[in-house]
Amino acid sequence: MVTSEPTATPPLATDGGGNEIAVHVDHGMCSGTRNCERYYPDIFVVNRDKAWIKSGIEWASADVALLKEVESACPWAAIEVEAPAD
Amino acid sequence: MPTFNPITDNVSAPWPEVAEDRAKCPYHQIADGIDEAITYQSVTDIYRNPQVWSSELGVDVAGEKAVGQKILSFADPPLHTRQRRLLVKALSPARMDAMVPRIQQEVDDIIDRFPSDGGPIDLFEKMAGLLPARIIHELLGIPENLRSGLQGWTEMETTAATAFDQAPFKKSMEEYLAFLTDLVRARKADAEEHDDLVSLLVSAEVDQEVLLETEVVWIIKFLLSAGAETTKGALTNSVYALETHPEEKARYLADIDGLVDTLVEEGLRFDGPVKGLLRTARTDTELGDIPKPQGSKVFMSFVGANHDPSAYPDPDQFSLERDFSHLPSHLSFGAGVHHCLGMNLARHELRVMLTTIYKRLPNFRLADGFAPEPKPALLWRHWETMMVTYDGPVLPRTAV
Repeated sequence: MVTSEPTATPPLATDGGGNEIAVHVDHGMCSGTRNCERYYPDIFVVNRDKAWIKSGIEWASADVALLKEVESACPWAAIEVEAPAD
Repeated sequence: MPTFNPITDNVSAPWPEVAEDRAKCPYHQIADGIDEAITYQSVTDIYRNPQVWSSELGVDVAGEKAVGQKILSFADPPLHTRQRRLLVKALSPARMDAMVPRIQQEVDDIIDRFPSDGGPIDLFEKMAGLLPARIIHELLGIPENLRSGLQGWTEMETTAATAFDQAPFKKSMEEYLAFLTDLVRARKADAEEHDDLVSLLVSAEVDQEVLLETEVVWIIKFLLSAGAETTKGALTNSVYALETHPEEKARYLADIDGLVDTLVEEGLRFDGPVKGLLRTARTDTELGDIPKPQGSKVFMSFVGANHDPSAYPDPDQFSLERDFSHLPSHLSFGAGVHHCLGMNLARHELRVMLTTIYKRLPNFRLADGFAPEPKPALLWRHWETMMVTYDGPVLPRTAV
């Protein structure tokens, strides 16, 4: 799955196990703390005080456990990850 | 022992001593059973590991809180997650953006009452101590006739929070808690008629769970003290930094609207209002390569992390040329799941105050001969007073 620009809601992607992953950043809640960028800089970038999902992510090799950690660690509950738990 | 000990030393600009300590080691013992983390990396590593480095077991010298008092900064996931998710929407960026006109009105009202002859005045007493309390009272929906008394208790609680001996505060604290409990019970009876934070908390439900009455009381108490003390320290520390760096002040005065965001962030980074916070080891662990037994405490030094050259070039320089969009977040609002809930509100309050002061008070400056004294406190870092003056009269709000 490749998007041309960083986005808050990329299209549904598939991880290495064939499971669907959806990652969404709620810009109404995001306060630009850079928590997600620190946890998972390959996926998240903060720009204009908001978190974005980078373009050109190789979702097949994404670390789903780390994505879940980013979701639960977001202090503004702005990141939602829909993916199998393990 | 480090050259600068945040527990015992209380100096105005400890940057050289902190740099010397940081260069030796990321960790130092600062008291029996307490180490200090002093680098940006070491502090963020601790923040990222709440499973080991617990807030619930003690973020200050008072130690573990009782059930019901484990709230927000004094709680660990999953309890912390549940409480925080109830509150984030009420303090969201959009909701705080909507508070800006109200903040501007309050700041203008405060400045309207400044003396026409230019003072001098104490910026703590006349502005920094007033605005954050008024705004948080409004957000909480505290009735006007109760605000003055409540402010007295909040100030008492702030002093008690970092005192080693809690005994002198016991009776006042009981009265304060009784007052807040009455407030919560009254609001619970008619919560649907109000749109304030107390009403939200007493009626909030997440995953079919509600907050205990004690939790609501302690959350309100926390919001009252945390919002007020930190913002007033942040304002006056920033003003002092700007006033003691004439080149940066000239740069700011030439482009107040363009540079106020940078001033807010650089002020918080350079001399934030909190020295640091403690965490307590839930299990046997390590700091760097050093084994630490369960119950060990670590002081996360924001002073050390925010002046770490690995994070900020020329860290001991106060500079409005920094581009914070390309720098790591300073740690004055904390990090990880415990990132400050009031950060969006605090930023707005600081922006409005730092803009309006320098637009409406001609030739605003420190009072002649004024030399500030650091306020003795374990966790807070600000001055006792901030005497300032200006060339009266105050400009009308319509002129700026």
